[in-house]
Amino acid sequence: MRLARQLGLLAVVVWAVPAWAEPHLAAREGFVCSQCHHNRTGGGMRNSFGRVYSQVVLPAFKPAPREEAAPAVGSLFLDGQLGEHVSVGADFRLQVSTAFAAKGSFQGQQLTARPTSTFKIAEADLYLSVQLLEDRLSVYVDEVVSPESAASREAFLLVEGLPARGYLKAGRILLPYGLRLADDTAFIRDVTGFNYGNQDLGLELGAEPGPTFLAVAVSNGTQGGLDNNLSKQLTASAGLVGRLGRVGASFSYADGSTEQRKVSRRVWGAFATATVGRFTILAEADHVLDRQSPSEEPESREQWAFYGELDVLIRRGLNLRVGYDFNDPDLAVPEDQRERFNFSLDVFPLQFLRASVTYHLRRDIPQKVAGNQDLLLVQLHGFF
Amino acid sequence: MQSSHATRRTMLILLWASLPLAGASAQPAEEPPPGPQPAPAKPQAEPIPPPSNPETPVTAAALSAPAPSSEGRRLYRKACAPCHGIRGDGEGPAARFLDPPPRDFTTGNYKFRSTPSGAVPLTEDLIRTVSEGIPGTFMPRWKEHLSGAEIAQVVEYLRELSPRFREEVPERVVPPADSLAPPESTEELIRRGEVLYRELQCTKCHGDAGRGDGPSAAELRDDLGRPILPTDFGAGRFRGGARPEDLYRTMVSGLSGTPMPAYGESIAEERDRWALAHYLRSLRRPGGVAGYLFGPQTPWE
Repeated sequence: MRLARQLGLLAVVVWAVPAWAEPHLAAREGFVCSQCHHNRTGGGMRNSFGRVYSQVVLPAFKPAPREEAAPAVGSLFLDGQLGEHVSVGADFRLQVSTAFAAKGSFQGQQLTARPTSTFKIAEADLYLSVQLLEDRLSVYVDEVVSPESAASREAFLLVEGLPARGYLKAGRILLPYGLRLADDTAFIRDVTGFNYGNQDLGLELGAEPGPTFLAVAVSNGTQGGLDNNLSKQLTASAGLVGRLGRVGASFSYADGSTEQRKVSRRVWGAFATATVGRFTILAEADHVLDRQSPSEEPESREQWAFYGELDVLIRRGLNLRVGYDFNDPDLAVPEDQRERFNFSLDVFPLQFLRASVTYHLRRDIPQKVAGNQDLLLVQLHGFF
Repeated sequence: MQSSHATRRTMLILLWASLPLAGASAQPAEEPPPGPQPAPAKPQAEPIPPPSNPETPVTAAALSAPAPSSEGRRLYRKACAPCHGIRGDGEGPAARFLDPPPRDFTTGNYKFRSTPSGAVPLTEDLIRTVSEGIPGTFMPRWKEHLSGAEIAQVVEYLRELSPRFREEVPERVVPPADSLAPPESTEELIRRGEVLYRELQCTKCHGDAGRGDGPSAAELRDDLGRPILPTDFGAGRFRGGARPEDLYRTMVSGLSGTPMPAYGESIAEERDRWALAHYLRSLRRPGGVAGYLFGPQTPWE
């Protein structure tokens, strides 16, 4: 019961602090996350190439050739560098979220969810990186300044230049697991707990030899709410990247047992991407096993989550996405599955600007009427 | 609890507000570029010429203005170094997933030139490549993002990255593009081009139909030993430019560092050069729906 409460609380936190990355772009180009992001496992501040890419490749509209009378040198092109050693970046998202009415029933009683609509700041993040030793040692801070009170999403010391393009992160980190999806509410990110709203304190050691990548993290285990300073959480992710796609697998184990009570969570999954022409496919499947004893409920609970998405690059700067989410929250309970169909149109009209419209068609069991509310999200995203 | 949040938020604001000042003070004033330094008193081996491509937004006025290498270096670091590396050696942090790999500027070897195969290019060649980008690669069309003056400054800095530009005086073997007058494409010219295409044995690499599938295609290597594919003329994507005058230049000067030789001497007649250029352009096949959906993409196009 306690674990269920913890997971429930986790889901609320995840819902409240969504954040985004764009793994389909990496998949489309045959890149690893670190090709565009300062953070080696993706998300957050863009690195020098990421900034070039976001200004040169992403915008739908090509600027007119510049005239001689153009203003200050370099004014159109922004690299976020403040001097030789300090770089900054930001993400800001304003979202209009509309939930449509839904009806359900429980034990013969009719349930209704009313339609709602709200503006909210979905994300306001500031990034700071200070290079202490060029390409060797840096400090990175990813600070959330809204919608909640200011908090560090990530804050770590990054040691680079280790063999096989190896690195070490030490501090508050997002644990390396699966596809770092744009949508934290996707079931694979929600139920596994590996998302932007859920970081942990610890160490991450990684390497990118050739076309492969590997990351192993040892952390307190706050992911899943199992931190009791008695044991640590182990998380690992590895894969192979090629021009046409990637395959990988992730694993995590956290043990929060005490002398009185045994609690643990084991998560493993596989992910893959493929790209042909204008089409990019992303998929991930995860298995979650929670154990607790003694317990009033069954001592273990297994669940599956699956995510698949198809991206179509209609033209430069315009992307159509169709996705599918599935979650069986307890394999021992029949007919409790939930699913979600996602339709999204993303446009990058100009540098530093993106707009998107997303429709989530949601299906849950009748008694969870809120889970059957369809959602329409319209979002304006500024970034650099 | 509330006040600690407020305090933290205030500290954050102060920290971020102070960053630009810290950055400004950290900016070096006149740091010399890496590698061997140019002798300031020595004149350039080649003066910057007026633009050859009327579509390129670089005017003679802009080029005649001083182009301090420190500005070029600053722009290079922003726009070019992520791929080509701080030292210009093609080993930028993003290089390993880019295919083809970024150019190593320190060698002075460039594919797209108006000079003999293996020679350093003219400044106008560098300006053209930087301005127009290279289709089929990650090299973007920088004229969309930088002004003509900025491109001239970057090019000036590129020339500083290889000592060859100070040591060699390149000979022009292809006339400036704006002095070329490509004839209209006619059936007769195209037929003549096809005859030349077979006589010169272009089919060995590029194949009978120009699809890049000639009998030698699989064995081709560049000067660094990396496998390299001949151009598929059917795709209509010419890295050195798709205009008749671009193809003319590539034929005459070749592509240094690749198996594509210079045919300037083999095709001595001006009319024949244009005939072959028009024939190659005629090989472009319409992509259709399948080409749109499944064909290769140039990221920035």
